[in-house]
Amino acid sequence: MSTDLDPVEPLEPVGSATAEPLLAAVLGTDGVAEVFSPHSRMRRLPALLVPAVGGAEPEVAVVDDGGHPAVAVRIATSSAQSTVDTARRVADRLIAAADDPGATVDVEVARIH
Amino acid sequence: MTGDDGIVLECGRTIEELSTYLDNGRTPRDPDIENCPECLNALEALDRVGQLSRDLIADEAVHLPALPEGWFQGILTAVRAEVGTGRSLPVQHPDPRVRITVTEGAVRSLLRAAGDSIDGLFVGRTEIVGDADVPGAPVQVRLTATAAWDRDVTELAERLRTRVYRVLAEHTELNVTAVDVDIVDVHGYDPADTAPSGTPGTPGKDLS
Repeated sequence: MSTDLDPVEPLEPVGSATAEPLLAAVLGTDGVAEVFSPHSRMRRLPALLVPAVGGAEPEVAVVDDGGHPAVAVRIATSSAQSTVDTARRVADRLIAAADDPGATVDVEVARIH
Repeated sequence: MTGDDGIVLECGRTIEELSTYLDNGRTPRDPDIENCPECLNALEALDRVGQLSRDLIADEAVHLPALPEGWFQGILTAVRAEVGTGRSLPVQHPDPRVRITVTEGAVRSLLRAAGDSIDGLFVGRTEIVGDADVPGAPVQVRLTATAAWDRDVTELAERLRTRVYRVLAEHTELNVTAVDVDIVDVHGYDPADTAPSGTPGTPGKDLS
């Protein structure tokens, strides 16, 4: 059923079994201060939208995008280190951990402190 | 921190809700707020404004005249206006499978924190002007600030400008072509400090 509140066609969640090692990779990256849910901004939307993002929210989102994992993470970085370098390190780790030549990675820095 | 100007973050919370949460000592702990970067950026800014307010009111009680009406309200309005996520500022990566962005809200919050950490200065408004979401596009940064009465305004403005350039170079890939600092107000004016040869300003005097 389609409604006005259903703006996107959600991709299939791959599952926490895949996300957990990726989360560990992010948290273990030098300069990362926090990891937020990529969907935290949706938390207060109507409940009917929650299933579209998979219910329980992993801090690293992994969805199936045409047979390849699409990884998304929102992080806070430490201002003591270069945010640019930290974000690149996170991306490098996620690409390596995804272990799929078709994988894509989206890193968003939402806070620097 | 009263008065609701209707600004709502992307997560759905209002600045009023966050102000109340802060006023209550962030208890009971709300995990949704504590895990939302926009909320945390806003809380940090509100907390600094609140601390400045308490410091100056305590100082006032000893020997200073009342702060100009609307002084804090002006800063709070600026904070409210810039707490959203804003644009996505790109960071280049050699692998085309990777997309890295820094939210404009994170950068503006960083600029505010960097400026507020300068003794005698408090940041009012921050603004990134230009196509900041286009790699390499020239952007200008504009800030307003208030300076302590007994400080060298020119020196404070230069320190702020230098610090802004430094943090933006360290934490973003913005092509910053100018940092404009406008000291728009003074705080902590004490008539007793007026030297015979000097010409005192007025609390709240617009120096722009």
